Amino acid sequence: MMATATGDGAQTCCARRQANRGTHLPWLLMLFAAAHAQPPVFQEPRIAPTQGRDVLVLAPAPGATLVDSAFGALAARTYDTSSRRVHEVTVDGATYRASTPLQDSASRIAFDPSRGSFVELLPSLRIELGPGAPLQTVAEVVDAVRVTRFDSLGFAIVELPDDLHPADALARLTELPEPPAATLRLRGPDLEWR
Amino acid sequence: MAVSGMPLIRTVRRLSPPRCSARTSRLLAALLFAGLVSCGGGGSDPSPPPPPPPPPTVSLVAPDDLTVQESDNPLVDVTVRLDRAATERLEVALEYSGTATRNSDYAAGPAAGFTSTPDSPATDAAADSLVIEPGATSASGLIDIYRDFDEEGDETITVTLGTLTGEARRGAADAFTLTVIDGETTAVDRTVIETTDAEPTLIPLGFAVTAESVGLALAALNFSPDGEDVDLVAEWSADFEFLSGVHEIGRVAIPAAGDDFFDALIPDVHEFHLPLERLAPDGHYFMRAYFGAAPDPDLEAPRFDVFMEGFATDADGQVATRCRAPSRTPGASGADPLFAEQWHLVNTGQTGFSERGGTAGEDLRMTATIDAGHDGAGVTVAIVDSGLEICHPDLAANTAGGGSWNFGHESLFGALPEDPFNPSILGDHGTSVAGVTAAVAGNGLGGRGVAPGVSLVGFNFGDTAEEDPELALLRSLGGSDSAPDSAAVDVFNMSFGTEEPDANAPDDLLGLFEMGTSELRGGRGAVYVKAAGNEFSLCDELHPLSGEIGCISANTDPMQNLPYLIAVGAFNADGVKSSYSSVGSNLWVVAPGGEDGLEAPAIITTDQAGTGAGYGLYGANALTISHPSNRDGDYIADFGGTSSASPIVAGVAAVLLGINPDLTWRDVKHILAVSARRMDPDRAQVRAAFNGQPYIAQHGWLTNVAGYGFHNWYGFGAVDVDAAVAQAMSHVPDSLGEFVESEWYGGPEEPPLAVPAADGAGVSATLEVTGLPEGANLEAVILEITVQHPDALGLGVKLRSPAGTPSVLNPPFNAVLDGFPGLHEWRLMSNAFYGENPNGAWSVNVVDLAGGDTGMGTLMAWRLRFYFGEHP
Repeated sequence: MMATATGDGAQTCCARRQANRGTHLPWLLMLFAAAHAQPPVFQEPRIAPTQGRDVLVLAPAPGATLVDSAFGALAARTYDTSSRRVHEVTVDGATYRASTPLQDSASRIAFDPSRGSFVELLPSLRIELGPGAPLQTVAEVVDAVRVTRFDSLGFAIVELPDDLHPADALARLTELPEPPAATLRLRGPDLEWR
Repeated sequence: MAVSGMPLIRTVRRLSPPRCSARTSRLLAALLFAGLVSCGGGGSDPSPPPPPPPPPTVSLVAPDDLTVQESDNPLVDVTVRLDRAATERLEVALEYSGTATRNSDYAAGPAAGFTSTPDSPATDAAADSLVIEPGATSASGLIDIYRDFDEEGDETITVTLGTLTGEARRGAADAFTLTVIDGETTAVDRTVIETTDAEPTLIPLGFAVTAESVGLALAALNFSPDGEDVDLVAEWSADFEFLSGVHEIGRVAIPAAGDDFFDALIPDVHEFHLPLERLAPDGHYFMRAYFGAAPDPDLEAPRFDVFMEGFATDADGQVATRCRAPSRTPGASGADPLFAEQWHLVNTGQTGFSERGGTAGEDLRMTATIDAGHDGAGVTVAIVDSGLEICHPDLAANTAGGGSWNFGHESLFGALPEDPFNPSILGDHGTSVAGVTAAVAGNGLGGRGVAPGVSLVGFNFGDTAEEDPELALLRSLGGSDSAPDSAAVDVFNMSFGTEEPDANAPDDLLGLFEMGTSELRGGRGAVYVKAAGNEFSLCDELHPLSGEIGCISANTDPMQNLPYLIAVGAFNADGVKSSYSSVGSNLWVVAPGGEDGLEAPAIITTDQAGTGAGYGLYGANALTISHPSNRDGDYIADFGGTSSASPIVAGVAAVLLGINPDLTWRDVKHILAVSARRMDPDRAQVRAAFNGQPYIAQHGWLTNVAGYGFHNWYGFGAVDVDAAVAQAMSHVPDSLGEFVESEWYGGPEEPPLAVPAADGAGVSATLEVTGLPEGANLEAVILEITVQHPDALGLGVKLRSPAGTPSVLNPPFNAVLDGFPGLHEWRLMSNAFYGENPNGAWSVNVVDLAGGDTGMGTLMAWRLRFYFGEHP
């Protein structure tokens, strides 16, 4: 599945979404999207860029490792309980925990060392318009579901298929001859009506 | 005069034994004192020269009330008085004793010593003496009694006349004793976060419509401490109150929480589907889910384990996901029947369908604007919200141009891309917001909007099944020129927000606002208006000061810590800040928002059309479907919050742009600031002492050196539309100079500075800013600050400009920081320095008022960025 960027703010695609109509509530696509997904490529936590800062992307599989970062050594551990996959990060003597459903093998969790909190990755990447591989190529490489291009803002949002972890998508792009400037996207706080 | 004259007469009578009659003695005494007549001799008998008058007598005047409340933060007058005018300079020393500790419980000194800068708390004067100048009969001092939160019991302050320097005698009244009644003794109250009262909770996740069914998705959290499983039950009914015709959709067992509280935080996710074949055409249906027993309809207290949703069906029995224009019969006169109750437009003291009225005149001051027909025609306003009923009888004329967008159209069966219809019938926030701005005027229906002539578009970024609202937000706020074409919008209203501890605006959003203000509207910039928040009282008074400075600061919403927006607070019909309205240094203005609509008026606006839908189902106040002006159920009178205040200002901005389309976004902000009226002018500062050091947690109204008044409750004040319109007519567009964003000034503190715990003085640091244009007029200042601390709750952050203007950017006890580990490059904005020049010494002050066992803080770094207009 691949989308084509057609203009500022224009949308394409959505065969996947239309196919899902009448079968699942859309929000479930988010929570359980990867229930039947292929195993993710990466198995160890890694530091990856988001806008303005780096985060520790947690591995979606059990294991433990130490990661060096600008924040010092981060001890990351992922383990399973009977129903949950638990992620632990220890930094500066403090241990933080978060968990995701056990069946969600591609849980998109990261740890923000600067704030000492877990964050959820959105299933998309932010691509700077400019030098680097063309957006069309980017979309093909990551099997993009949809691309929204913001010419006036100088970037595009590339939405990823359910079975591709954003960190893996980012890794794919770094292998391109001319990798684009790409970053992970974090889910923001819930907005409330006032 | 009468008071001061009496002692003089008595003195003269004592000095000169009278030979005059008693009846004339009073007059003669006065004349004698004036040197006009003598008494006692007479004839030609020579008299010896009178002896020189004895020195004047000094007495200490006790205040009327010798008992004061510490919690009132009182200033007590201390006066020394002579029985006649001093002939030479007289210095009267005062001695302070008693059980209260000077400079910890109170400060004292000459009155002049208490009046330096507006920000200076009363501090102890260097001299204890009061000086009576020649010719004067008295001198005054003050005792400033600190409000604190220490448990110390009632205390006393005894003031006694001390040494007299100069010619004077000590009088009989030479001492008094004040009793200070101890005030609050509360430390930070964290009981609100205890979990013993935790109950099963439902979190709504989705409301989905397909060709076969309508579905609810819920996350169930079971915090039940009793360790029992509980059933989650889903039902439907055509009865809003579920009193009849209740049918079960499904039932699942939710396991009890284990011993590990962490496990209790893991939700069980469930969905319930209601097949469409069970529904009839043109009906209204409701679905609810709850734990355990069915809700008691007579129980008024909300249950956290109940969730409800509702929807309508169309003529085909499908769930209504498109707007269907209802038929309405306008009043014959064409007048808006609810206008007379819209206090926010013209406040006559009417009740607005609540129990009481407000204060006449406390409104938008826009009578002349309405009379002149300034209605925002030609201006496009976007309601970026939960939806917009584009066929609403009182909105349809203004939405006829199209341009709206439904971000959920792909996942809601039957929905249309350009119809942001909200299928939930339990009230559509966006439709009510829209009516505040743009309900049609003079159509014989309902009330009117502030700008009833605008073109109205709606973008429902926030109430769809889209999993990426941030992306929808970018597309809604000018980042997209097709599907939707938000780049064509002139004014954006954002009646939403969030509270995040220590969070900054995402770069994408920052870039969006930079682009929108520099490129949209042909380079004049779109106007972004945002609701400041409703969190003033949202902490059950974590600390006594919370009730005065608010629970959660408006500066805690990272989206509104940006100079590109107009952050709007709310005021009520009495002309005071609405009880809920968040306050902070990032406010720009306030506008009507009212109160709850029950006891005191709220805002009258559009509701989802029809008697079977909308907030009106809850029947909050007197504007029910029984009222002749609301037979069709299209309106409500209890809409409120800063969600109301924001679209009012959006409407005002549209009115201004309608009058003068060449105004830039900065012109609009400027006009609103200079024309705003000072509301609640006597609002006192909030000050308390910690460790004997007084701290101003919130200033009263301050006027900066550029002449702009500012208050964290009100920004520059209440919007005055007629005044703003007059400004807009004469304002030269784009005359504020080039808009400049400076580099960052400042950085790490070397070495880092310790922040003393529970101490009102805190720690201060200074930064010298040089090299910015002398013709620079500040429009906003952003402080980025890093403070290490195990618990940021007690941290207060204040900035002072080179001109001496203080501004509290983060008030202490900001509840959202409760338990949060410090501040990390947190960006906070202040508008209080508007018009000042940025060059010179800026200082930051950080206090930690929580103390206790919350640990010690360290100011690690701070820097400033200036936004200013540069004049050649």
